[in-house]
Amino acid sequence: MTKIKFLFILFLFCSIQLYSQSEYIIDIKGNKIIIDEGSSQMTSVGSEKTPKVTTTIFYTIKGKKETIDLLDIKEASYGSYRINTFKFDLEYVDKELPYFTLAEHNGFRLISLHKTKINSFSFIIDSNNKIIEDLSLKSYKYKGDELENRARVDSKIREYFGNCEELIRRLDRYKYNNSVMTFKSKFVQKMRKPNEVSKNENYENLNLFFNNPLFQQCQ
Amino acid sequence: MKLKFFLLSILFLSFTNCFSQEFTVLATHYKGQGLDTDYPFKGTFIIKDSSLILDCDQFHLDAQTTKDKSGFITYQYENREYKLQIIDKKGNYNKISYDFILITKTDDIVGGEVSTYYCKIK
Repeated sequence: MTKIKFLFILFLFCSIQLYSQSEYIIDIKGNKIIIDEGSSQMTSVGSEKTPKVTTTIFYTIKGKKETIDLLDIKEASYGSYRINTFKFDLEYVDKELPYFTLAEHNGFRLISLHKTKINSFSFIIDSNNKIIEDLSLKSYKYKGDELENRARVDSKIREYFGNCEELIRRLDRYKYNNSVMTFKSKFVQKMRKPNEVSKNENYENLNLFFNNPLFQQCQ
Repeated sequence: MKLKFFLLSILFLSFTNCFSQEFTVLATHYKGQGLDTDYPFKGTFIIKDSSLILDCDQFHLDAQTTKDKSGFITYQYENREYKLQIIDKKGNYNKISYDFILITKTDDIVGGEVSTYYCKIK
């Protein structure tokens, strides 16, 4: 009886340990960092003079504040984000890079790489990490070839991940806006017109879908 | 006949607009994008049946609302979907006493963001 009690307590202890280790970051040196549940925050800040964007993850370990650059991560699972690393053999990238997984379905993964202010790099890859579709976008171009590209990207996501209800619901959010914001501050009015509404007529906001690469479970 | 129609219209309108709660925002806390800070943000939150108004010194937001599967009020501003939670709880925040906490959350901004409004009923 005492043995059963002991085993039960041991099982309970192990379960708690496993549960509490559900949010983690493995850095490029291979160190596994167990982070406090729900403590992570992430921000992407652009540099004024270059197209570079720095993505930083803020987190706490037993209450102590820490940060890590996205490019220093090998693997991670925190909040709504999943990060893995892969050596991309592309025209413009030929090294190991961390990527976010947005969705997984039928052996395909929708992934997004570290972006710049000019480009966002997103792909559909198969279970062998082979690139099936290049969904990369140019951030500030909405006309001509880029407009056709944006329409193609939208349709490819729907083709491969059409059964992922939450992902498609999120993709649809980039098509409409039902709120009206009136800016009173003169400072904000310099940047935004009062009653400015995004209509997304030319998929102009599609790059924002990849801007926040959160993982959404497919049912 | 006209009077009857008028009275019926008033009755109908009073039923359709029966739900409205108005809160005075006394203090605001923001967490997201690496920030974990208090905002000097004061204003009014009006929650109706299918819309909400957030009126403050910086902006005025008029949004259509719906309810999600869990019963939370949701609204969309541009590409972001926000969830609104109203907590009936009295307390003190930074020496300000409040009667309600209103929390808005969105995952549609990198890292997610949470705004907490400490309020009194108007």
